[in-house]
Amino acid sequence: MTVTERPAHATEAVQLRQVSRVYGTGDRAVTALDAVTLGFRSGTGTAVMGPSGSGKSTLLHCAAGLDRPTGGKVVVAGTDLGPLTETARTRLRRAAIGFVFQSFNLMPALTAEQNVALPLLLAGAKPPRDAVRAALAEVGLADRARHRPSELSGGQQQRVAIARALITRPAVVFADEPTGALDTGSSREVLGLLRRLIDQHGLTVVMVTHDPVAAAYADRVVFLADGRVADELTAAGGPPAAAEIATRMARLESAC
Amino acid sequence: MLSLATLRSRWHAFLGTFAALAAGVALLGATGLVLLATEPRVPARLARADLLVQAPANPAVAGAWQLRRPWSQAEAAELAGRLGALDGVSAAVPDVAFYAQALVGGAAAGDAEDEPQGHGWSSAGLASFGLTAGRAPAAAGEVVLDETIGAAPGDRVTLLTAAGPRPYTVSGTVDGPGEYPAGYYVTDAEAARLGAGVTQIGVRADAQAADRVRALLGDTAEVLVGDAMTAAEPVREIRLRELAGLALGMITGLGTFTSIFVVASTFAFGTHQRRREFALLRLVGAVPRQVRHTVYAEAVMVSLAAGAAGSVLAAASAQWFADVLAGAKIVRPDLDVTLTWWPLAAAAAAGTAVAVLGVGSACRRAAKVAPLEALRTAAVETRPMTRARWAGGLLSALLAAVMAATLTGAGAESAVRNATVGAAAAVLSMALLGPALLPPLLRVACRPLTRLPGAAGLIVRESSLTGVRRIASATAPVMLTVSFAVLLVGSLTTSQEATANEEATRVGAGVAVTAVPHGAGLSREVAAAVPGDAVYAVQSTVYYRDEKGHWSQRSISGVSPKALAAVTRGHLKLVAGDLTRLTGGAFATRPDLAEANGWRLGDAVTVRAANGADWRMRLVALVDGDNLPGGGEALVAEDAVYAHDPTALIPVVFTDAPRAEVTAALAAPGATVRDMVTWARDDGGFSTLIWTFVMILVTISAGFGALSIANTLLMAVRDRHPEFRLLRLAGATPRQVAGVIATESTLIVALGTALGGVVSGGALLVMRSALADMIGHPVPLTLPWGVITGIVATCLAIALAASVIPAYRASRHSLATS
Ligand SMILES: Nc1ncnc2c1ncn2[C@@H]1O[C@H](COP(=O)(O)OP(=O)(O)O)[C@@H](O)[C@H]1O
Ligand SMILES: [Mg+2]
Repeated sequence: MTVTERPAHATEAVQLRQVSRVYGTGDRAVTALDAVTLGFRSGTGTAVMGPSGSGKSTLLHCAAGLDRPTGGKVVVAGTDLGPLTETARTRLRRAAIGFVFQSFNLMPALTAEQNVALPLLLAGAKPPRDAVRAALAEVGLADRARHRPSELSGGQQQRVAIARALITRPAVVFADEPTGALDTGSSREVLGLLRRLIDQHGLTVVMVTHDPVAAAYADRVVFLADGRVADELTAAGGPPAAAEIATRMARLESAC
Repeated sequence: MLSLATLRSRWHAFLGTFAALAAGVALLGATGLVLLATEPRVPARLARADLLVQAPANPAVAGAWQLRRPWSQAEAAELAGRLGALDGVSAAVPDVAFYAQALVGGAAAGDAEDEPQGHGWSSAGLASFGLTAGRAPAAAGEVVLDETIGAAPGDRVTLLTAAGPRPYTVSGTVDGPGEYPAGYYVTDAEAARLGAGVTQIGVRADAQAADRVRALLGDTAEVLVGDAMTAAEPVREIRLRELAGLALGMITGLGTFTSIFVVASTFAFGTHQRRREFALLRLVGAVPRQVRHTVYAEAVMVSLAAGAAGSVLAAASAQWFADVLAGAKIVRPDLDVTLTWWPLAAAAAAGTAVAVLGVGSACRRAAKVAPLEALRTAAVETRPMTRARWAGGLLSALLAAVMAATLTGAGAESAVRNATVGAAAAVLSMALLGPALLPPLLRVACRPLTRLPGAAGLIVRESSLTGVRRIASATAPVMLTVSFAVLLVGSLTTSQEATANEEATRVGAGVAVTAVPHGAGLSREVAAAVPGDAVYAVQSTVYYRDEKGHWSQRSISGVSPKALAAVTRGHLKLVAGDLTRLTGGAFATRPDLAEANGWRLGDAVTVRAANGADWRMRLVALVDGDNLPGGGEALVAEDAVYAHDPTALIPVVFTDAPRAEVTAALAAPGATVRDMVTWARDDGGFSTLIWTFVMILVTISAGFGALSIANTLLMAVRDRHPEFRLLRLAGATPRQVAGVIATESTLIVALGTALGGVVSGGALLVMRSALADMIGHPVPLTLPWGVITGIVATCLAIALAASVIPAYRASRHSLATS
């Protein structure tokens, strides 16, 4: 068994090695990420937590190829992002990465259906109507296909955004505070949806949150502080308990 | 799909572009249709000829009309006889022409530029029109003329002829087309007496005869058949078409550039407003090229819609446009515009090209937006000054400075040009550097505002300082429009004033006698009646063949001994030879002209005269002066000119006699008596024409400027709804919000006017000193205050309407729709 065991990273959708991100130069330089090494296993959900300004969003942006790290290496679905041009990175992002953000970031001019089809359209494919409808049905919005974002509630908009993130069958979905702008009910729906996608479709999800209840939907919780990985909680048998997460958070925040 | 969806949801942002492009396409399309309608046509007077045989043309000379080397009347008659004998030719009519204009109410009928309108009755057989009343002329004193003159058979009319004003009896009338008289027909014998040589023979023949005619003539004449007969169109129409081409070229050029500017500036502003949207597109996987193409596609789609609208507008307004141009005497009055698809299609295509050109830089900027910008919580005001803006702005500023520095050394004419180029560069530099220049100006301009009671001043200052890009975008068109108008109109009025003064000074005191209004010139009879030391020259043309066999046309001036004496006392200097021998076949010329032609004193030169006869002239004197009297290349005796050209006319007679005395002496009709200054200022309606022209250009630029202002402000207001809501939450009434916006818009127009005024005013001052150097005395700076006020008022009205109304409406709703 030890001989045939494949290296751990082979099953990791995303790997960060010694990734640093420094904003600004000289006196005003801020180290948002400080040589972080992390891997996100395929088919799992990871929650990233930490005090405000600890580098969570920066981590997500670097891992997703939205931002270029100032040091280290990011590998997504087996491809090193470092040497890629802007266009090539965009193509990779389009094919392998989905996003969900706090502000739902839908194109206001397009209908739900069109928003979902957009990544495929941009990739030059003729979006199969069934696939788009199926993605919307998956997030429970089959009947809202023709609505524009302004005609949808926050929770519904976020579910459209999730459908859009899923339409390209990405290797990993990044979510930055996906429930930050939602009421409790909508939050539960969105989190339940993400969990179901992980369990039923083997999706990889990396989600930034400051809500212990949201983090409890994940298989693993990574705690960041001052741009470094400060702590980690892994599910032993079941998902980490919200209470435990809250305790760890409190400890971290008081340490700052 | 995306572009279409964006167009649908953000249509207001594309209104300005749409309007600018539609207006541009309409302008281009209408211009195209009008230009097409100005195509040469066969004059009605010759329309029934099946072919025209024309005397050979001389090579074109810059600044002069290309004339045909005439046959003598005898030669023409002989040629016509041979043509008439050909198979299939039913008639060959030598078209004898002589100078004639009817005197109607103290003015001459027709146009001063027209070629001679008098013909023999046999020429009337070539015309498409015919007698409407009366009968053909049968005796020497009878004439058939156009109904537009208003005379009936039996009436007496005065015809101005080269021999002098003469009474005629109307024997009949014809119904020529258009508003100009279609000609004066007298008996063939009378025409032969009054006319000089013949340059064309009208032939009525069957279709096969053309080849036989060509075979007979060889290269001794040109044979025009069918469409080629349009070459016989009147000079007036050729001139008008050239003018129309020039005018319409400038109009379309300006229209194109201003619409590129409007598209570029509205899209630049729109792209800035939509950074978040582009970032979002990038976020969901659009590569930069796709973002760029999205914006291009939007522009192209808007331009297609605008092309369609503009074409319809062009088709609907082309005739009206032609009438306006005709009113301004830029095209002929009876222009019939026919609708043709291709000028409209070309205009629409040009609209798309304009859109693509204009949107280029906005597209590149849009493509540079990073996906992360979608995730920033606050819409950060990115630095409005890009590197390209700095570079362009500083380069144009440098160019302006160089132009200003090289002004003093340069000659007067290039100084005027440098001042114009410099001013344009300065305006461009201000427009580009606007976002950098504006903040300090805004602080100064807002100082009085902040002292006012209430919060408006403070709010205006802060929001304009944080929205410098918006202010710069809205200020630029005001500045461009104002400076364009000031420069164009100001330089025109200033130089007009200067040249009129200069000319009056140069000519000196005295009286000028010219033809009655619209008259082509004076007869010898009238000139001889002018009292005092009268100076004049009679003008004609001769045709000269050099030893290589090349023909060229030469203008000659005939002077009387009395005039010659007066002239030689003045600015004419005898270099060699003897001017007293300037009689009969003698001529004098300038040394440089003699040298260029290889003529020496005593040489004999044979030329063909206007009557088609050979004229042997001997060079008896070389005289020096800037210009020979009358501006001709050779000076001959007055009698000699009349002997060879019975149609010769005298443009102007100068005399030192008192004006009252001259007027009394010329009691008979046929002349206009004016003092020198009034005469010098009369440029035959040219300045009126230029003025109309400038006003058309200024109106076009102001129209596009207004569009640009309106669009920028409309777009800006739409993006400021959250700001209005905050103001309302803080306790402002909708009226107060509208007040803030009104103050800001007024500030924008004031700043634009001030900047534009400073730049163009400076250039005008420079131009004035250059002109003053040129003419040696101070030039008044004439500013078109009326035009400037009109433009600023229009800008202000449009700026207020485009910002205050939507702001007021938005702020009334903004609390509810939060
Ligand atoms: N664009 C930026 N420029 C400068 N500093 C930044 C930028 N983005 C983030 N930072 C800084 O980097 C650090 C980490 O930020 P971020 O990753 O957004 O934290 P978090 O998402 O955990 O709140 C913070 O100190 C923040 O101020
Ligand atoms: Mg964050």
